[in-house]
Amino acid sequence: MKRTGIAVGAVACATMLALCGCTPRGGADPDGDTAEITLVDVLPAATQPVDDVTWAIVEGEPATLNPAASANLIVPNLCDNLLSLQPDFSIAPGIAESAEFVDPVTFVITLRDDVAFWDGSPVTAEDVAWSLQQNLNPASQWFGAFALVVPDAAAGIVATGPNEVTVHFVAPDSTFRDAIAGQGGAVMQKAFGEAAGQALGTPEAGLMCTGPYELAPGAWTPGGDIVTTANEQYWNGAPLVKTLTYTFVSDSSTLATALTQGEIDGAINVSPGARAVLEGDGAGTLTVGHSTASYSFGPASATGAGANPKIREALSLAIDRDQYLETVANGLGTVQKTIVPEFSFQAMTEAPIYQAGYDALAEPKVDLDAAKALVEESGEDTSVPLVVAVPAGAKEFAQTATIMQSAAKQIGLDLEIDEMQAADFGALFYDPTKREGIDFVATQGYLETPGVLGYPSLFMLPADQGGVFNWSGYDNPEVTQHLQAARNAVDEKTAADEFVAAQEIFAQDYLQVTLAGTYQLTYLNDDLTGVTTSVAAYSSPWALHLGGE
Amino acid sequence: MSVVQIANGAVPAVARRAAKRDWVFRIALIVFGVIAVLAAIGPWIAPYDPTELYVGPVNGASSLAHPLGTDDVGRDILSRVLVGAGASVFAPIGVVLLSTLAGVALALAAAWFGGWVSGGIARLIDVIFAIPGIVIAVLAVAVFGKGLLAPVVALSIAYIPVVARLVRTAASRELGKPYTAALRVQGVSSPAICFRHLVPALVPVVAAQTAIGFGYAMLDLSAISYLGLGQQPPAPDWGSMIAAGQAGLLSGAFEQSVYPAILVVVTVLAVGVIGARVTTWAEEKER
Repeated sequence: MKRTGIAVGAVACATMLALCGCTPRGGADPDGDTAEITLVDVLPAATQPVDDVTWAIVEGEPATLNPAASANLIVPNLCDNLLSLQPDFSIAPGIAESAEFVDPVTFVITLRDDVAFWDGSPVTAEDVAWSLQQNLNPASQWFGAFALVVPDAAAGIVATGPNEVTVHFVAPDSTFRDAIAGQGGAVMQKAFGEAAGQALGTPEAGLMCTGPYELAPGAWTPGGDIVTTANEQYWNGAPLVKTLTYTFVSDSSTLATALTQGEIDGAINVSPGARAVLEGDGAGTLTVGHSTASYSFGPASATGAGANPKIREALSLAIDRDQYLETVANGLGTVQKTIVPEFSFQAMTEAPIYQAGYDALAEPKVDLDAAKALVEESGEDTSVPLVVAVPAGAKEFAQTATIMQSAAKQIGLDLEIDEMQAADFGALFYDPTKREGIDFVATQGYLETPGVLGYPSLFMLPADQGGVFNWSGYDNPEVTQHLQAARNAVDEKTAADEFVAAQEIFAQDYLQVTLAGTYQLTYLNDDLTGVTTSVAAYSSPWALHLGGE
Repeated sequence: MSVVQIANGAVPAVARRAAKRDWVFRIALIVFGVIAVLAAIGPWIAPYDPTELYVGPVNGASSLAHPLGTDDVGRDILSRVLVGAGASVFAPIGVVLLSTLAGVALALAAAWFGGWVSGGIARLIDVIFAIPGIVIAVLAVAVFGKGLLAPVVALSIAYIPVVARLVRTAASRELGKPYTAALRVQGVSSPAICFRHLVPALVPVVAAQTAIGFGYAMLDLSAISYLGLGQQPPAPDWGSMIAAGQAGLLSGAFEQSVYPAILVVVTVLAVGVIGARVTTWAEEKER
């Protein structure tokens, strides 16, 4: 090896240090005061037209844009929902002028008469009925929201007039109206959908919707980008951005660099780890908005120590939530008491009842002695290591697993970390064989629409009643009864009371140990404004008012 | 060169003379020596438990209490670097030892027996050579599970062809020299010729290759740990530390990634210098 080689090595090391030393230091403040953060759910509407905007999708390229099969941030700008979800999570009329129960099991949707698809054809009741019927398929992402609709599509969802659709239920459903403010209520053209068949929403077949941006044939380049153009005939006013291009950037460092240098105009869900850079001197501004997102972990099996509620409670008592929040979310979130976040009910009529129920829950606290006692009481064999599964390559999950591991060690439990590749981790939610040997799964999730029953139904109800993620076999008849009563309630107060009664019980069973609620983080170039910056972006045309300042 | 020269101490003398006038080599030796010693005693001199969280601030800068700062969950980076040095330095040593033993054995068998044995070994080596080492290591992890053992064994297999080809050529050349024929005429047994004369003559070549192989093994193992397939958390090693700290770089929290990265660079550089010098001496002796 020549001396020049040594010199190159020395220069490389020195350069690494010098470059790093020039970067502003971020990181969590152990005494961080989250009260200083101002939450903004929508930026002022734009006034100036803009030709091109490039938007990064941090979740990666979707497999499809079919609203029934994919939840992503592109669909809301393409396909309108029947009701319009507002940035504060309230619900306003949308394509549907009104949508109400006329009796406990009959829901009538009255449509506007001035809404047209991108091809100019008017939206009919037949189109809406067909769109809703897609969710009666168990493969639909929104099947759970339609579970109480009369399962025979022809009898359950019927076009009862030129601008009227009637939905018939087998039992009252207090959650349905909220659901159709999300993608469960997305409207597509029946003729186009039937012609496309299974290919609907793919790069080959495309879509035919009514949203503010159009997806032209060939506009989706697989592995590349998705180019959408303004729908100049949009019923709620044409967007000011002429071309909105989605690009896919999952790596947080790459994205932060591209955003701050102005190569990409904006992104929703940027990493809290890049806070210092995004709040620094860059091309845009980081906006912090309300969210329903949270980090949590729960049991993956009906056997083993993970299925024992005492072990879960012990782990919960060993994790310092404030410290977790500062470490994993860089202080951009809140300590959350239970799986159902406060923002999910803030705009609901009976919000005070939900809030009182939430406030009555115990604050998460650290008590190592109590945790150790619970481990003793559990009767579990602590010599057998527990395993927590997390997705590989995600800093927040690596930190979560490390914190869990350290907490377990403090209370006499041995916890191993299984970092799974993305495909394997995704598969374990639906394939029991992938969960073999795993005791806990750490996840991050969010609720796209208002309502409190989404998570509890998935995690607390018996599997045959909709609890598809109830892997520990939790079956508390009282909880089941209250949750079902909440869903079947015909008035909002009863629904709220029943939910709060259920929450009081299931919160103590630690089916999901909630670690932190996180805020919605949106970065937008300073030349632009007008986007929705709360979690409502997942269910509303967040780029409708996007444009120049 | 012959066994007589080796017996007379020609190699050490050459090495000593070269080392005396070569300060780069001496620095490399000292650097690697220090790193190896730290790797050996790291767990006993680490100031903190390398797995204990929040011994300092999250992503803390260098300070008296934490000279290399703290990582993204408040662990002391110096302690993790010291304890992680064991896996980071000794695992590559395991790779070069295993690959050298197997490679030399195959090379000697091929050179000594020739014919179909040589042909068979050559084909086997061709097959192994066709698959990149890191791919074999990742496949081994997929089959045998995460941890250091599978990648070490897999990389050892992957490195066999390089050692075997090099040593086979040197061994064939050595066997063609007059002194081996003289030994045969004198009635010296085949094992004696092989292990008392041939193998010592190959030492410089093997030593040079071992040093170079160490550098490659360290980089490959770091890459495997970087992918999360090597040393499993919370046990530290330099590769996984580099990976874990990557997200903090943009926030100015460079310590978690950059210090282990510098150590990998410095170690590979030092071993590379040592390997290059040994190779040069081997070539000089050949002349």
